[in-house]
Amino acid sequence: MTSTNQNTMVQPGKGLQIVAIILLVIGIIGLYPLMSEGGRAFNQGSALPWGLPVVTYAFLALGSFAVAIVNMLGVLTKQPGLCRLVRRNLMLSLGLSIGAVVALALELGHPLRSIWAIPLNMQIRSPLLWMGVFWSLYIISMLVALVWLRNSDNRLENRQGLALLILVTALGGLFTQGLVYGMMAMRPVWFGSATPLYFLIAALPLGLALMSLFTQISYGFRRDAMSPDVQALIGDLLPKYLLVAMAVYTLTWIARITTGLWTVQDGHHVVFEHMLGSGLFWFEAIVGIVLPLALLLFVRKPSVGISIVTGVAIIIGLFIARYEFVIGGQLVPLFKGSWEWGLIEYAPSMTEWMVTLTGAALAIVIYAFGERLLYGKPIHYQANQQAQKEAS
Amino acid sequence: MPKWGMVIDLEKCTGCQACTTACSMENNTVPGESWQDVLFYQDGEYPSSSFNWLPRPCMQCENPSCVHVCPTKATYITDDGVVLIDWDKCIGCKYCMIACPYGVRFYTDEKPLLEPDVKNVFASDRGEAQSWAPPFQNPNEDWSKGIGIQPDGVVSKCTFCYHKISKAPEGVSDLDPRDPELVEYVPACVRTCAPEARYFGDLDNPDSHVNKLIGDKRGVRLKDETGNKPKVYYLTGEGGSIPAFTDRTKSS
Repeated sequence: MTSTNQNTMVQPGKGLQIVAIILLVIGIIGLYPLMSEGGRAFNQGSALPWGLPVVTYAFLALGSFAVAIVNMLGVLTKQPGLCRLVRRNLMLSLGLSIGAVVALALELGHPLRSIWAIPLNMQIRSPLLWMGVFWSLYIISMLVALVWLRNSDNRLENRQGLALLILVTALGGLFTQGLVYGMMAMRPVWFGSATPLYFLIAALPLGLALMSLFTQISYGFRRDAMSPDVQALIGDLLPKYLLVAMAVYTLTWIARITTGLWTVQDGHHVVFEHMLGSGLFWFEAIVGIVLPLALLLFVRKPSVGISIVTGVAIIIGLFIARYEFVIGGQLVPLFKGSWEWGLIEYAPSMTEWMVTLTGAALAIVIYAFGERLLYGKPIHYQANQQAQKEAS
Repeated sequence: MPKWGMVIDLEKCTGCQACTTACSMENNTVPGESWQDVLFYQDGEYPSSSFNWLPRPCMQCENPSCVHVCPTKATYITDDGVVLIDWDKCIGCKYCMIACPYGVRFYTDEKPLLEPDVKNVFASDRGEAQSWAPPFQNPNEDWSKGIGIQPDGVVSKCTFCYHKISKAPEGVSDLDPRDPELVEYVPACVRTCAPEARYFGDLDNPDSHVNKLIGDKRGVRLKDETGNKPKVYYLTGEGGSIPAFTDRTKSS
C-alpha cells in the first residue's frame, strides 16, 4: 500500500499540469482579437449585454462555491474522506474562483477600475457589491486555511470557526450570485425570490461532480492509490450524495420548465418554447440529466470509468443550464420594435469561447500547480502520510 | 429645484425620426447607439393589421433600477431628477443595461451595426479615451455626466441633453422650443420635433404645461409595474398605442 501510494504520487499531477498549461496557452493566444479589437471581438451587444464570458464566470463561480460548501460541510461534520481531501478541494475552489474572476475581468470594460471604484463608492443596494464582499472574504479565508494547512499536522476540523467562515462566505457568494438575476423584475425568466435557491440547487451537483472528477484525475484514475477513507468517499458516498443532489436538481429543472411553458406572462413562455425547440436543450436533457441519473441510480458501485462519465456528463449539462439561464433571460428584446423582429439571436464568437477556455484552464492550472507551490509536494502524499501515521 | 420630465403625444408623432437624428448629432452617438429612437411596431394580420410607432428616449426614472444595481455609483440621479453616467467610474459591467426595463442603454465597445465602422472612418488619436472623432464634437464634454464623445468600455445613454437643460433659468416651468429665450435650453429631440409632439417641463410645478397635459389627456408611463416610475409620459389619445413584444418570427 505504502509503495503504491508513493509511486503514484508524481505522474498524475504532471499529466494534469501539462494538459492545463497547453489549454491555457491556446486560450491566451485565442484572446488576441480581444486585445486588438476590444469588445468588438464579442458577439454580445447592447441588445444582449451578457454573453458566454458571463456564463463562464457564473459557472466557474458556482462550481467554486459548491465545492467549498460540500467540503466545509464535510469538515464540520468530520466526514473522514472529505477531511482527508480538504487541502485539494480548497485548492480546487480557489482555482475555480480565480478562473471565474479572470473570465469576468476579460468581459468588463474596465476591470482594473473596478478594484477601486467598487469599494470606494459602496453602492450597498447593488448585489454586485455584496457578491464582491462575500467573494473577497471567501478567498481570503481559503488562503488562510491553505497556508495554515501547510503544516501536515494541522487539521481543519480542529479549526471549526475557519471552516464555518468559508462555508458562510461561500453560501453568501452563491446567494448573491442568484440575487443578481433574481431581482430583475424586468426579466421574467430570471425574476423571483426562488432564483438564489435555484442557484444553490444547481450548484451542489456541480460541486460534487467536480470534486469527484478532479480527485480521481489527481490519483491517476486509480482507486488503489487512495487511502481507504478517500476510496469510501469517491467509490461509495459521493455517488450517493450526487444521486440525491441530481434528483433534487432534476425536479427543480422540470418545475422551471413546466412553469415557463404554462405561464402566459409576456416574454416568459416564448423563451421556454424557444429553448425546447433547440437541440442544445435536448442534449442537456439526455446527456446532462438522464444519463448521469441512470448511471447513479442503476450502478451501485461505480467503477472509475463510470464515475468519470457521470461527472463529465453532469458538468457539461450544468454548463448548458447556465448558458440557457443567462442567455435565455435576455432573449426577449426590450423596446427594440422592428429592429428586433423576434427573439434576439446570439451565438458566441470564437474569442468568447477562448475566454471560457482561458478561465477553465486557469482554474485547472492553479489546482494542478497549487499543491506543489504551497506544499512542495502533491497533496495526496500528505494525505496518505497522515493516513499511514494514524494506521500505525 | 425642478423635476424635469417629458411628454410625448403619440397622436401627433409622425415617426419621422428627426428627433433620433438630432439626438445623434448633438450627442455624437454611433449608428445603433440610439439614445433616442422611434420604434416601429406592426400588429395583427392583413386586412386588419396596424402600424404603430413609439418614440423612446431614456425614461429618466424616479426610482431607477439602473442606479440601484450599479456597483460603483457610476450611474446616479441628479437633484433635478436626471439619471446620468459618470464615465470615470463606469467599469463596463453592463448590469445597468440588464436592469433597464426599456433597453435604452448602450455599450460603447461592441461590433458596429454598419460597415464600414464609423469609428474607423473617423478614428480618434486619443486612444481609449475617445472611441472616435466625428467632424462635429459636442463642445460641452463632461465625463462625470456622460456627455461628449464616449470613451471605450463604458455604457452610454440619453442625458435629456443635460448640458442644455441644466443651464435653464431658475423657476422656468416649461422649456418651450417656441420661446426664443428658452430655445437654447431645450433638449435636441424636443427642439427638432416638427409636429411638436414633445413637451418638456417641470413635473413638480403644478402650473407647468407638461403637468396639465398629463392630467387632461391621461398621460401613461411605460412598464409602470416594474416600479421604476418613468418621468417620460405618453399621451395615447385615440390613435396611439403602446405596443407589447410579440415574437413575429413565429406568427409569420
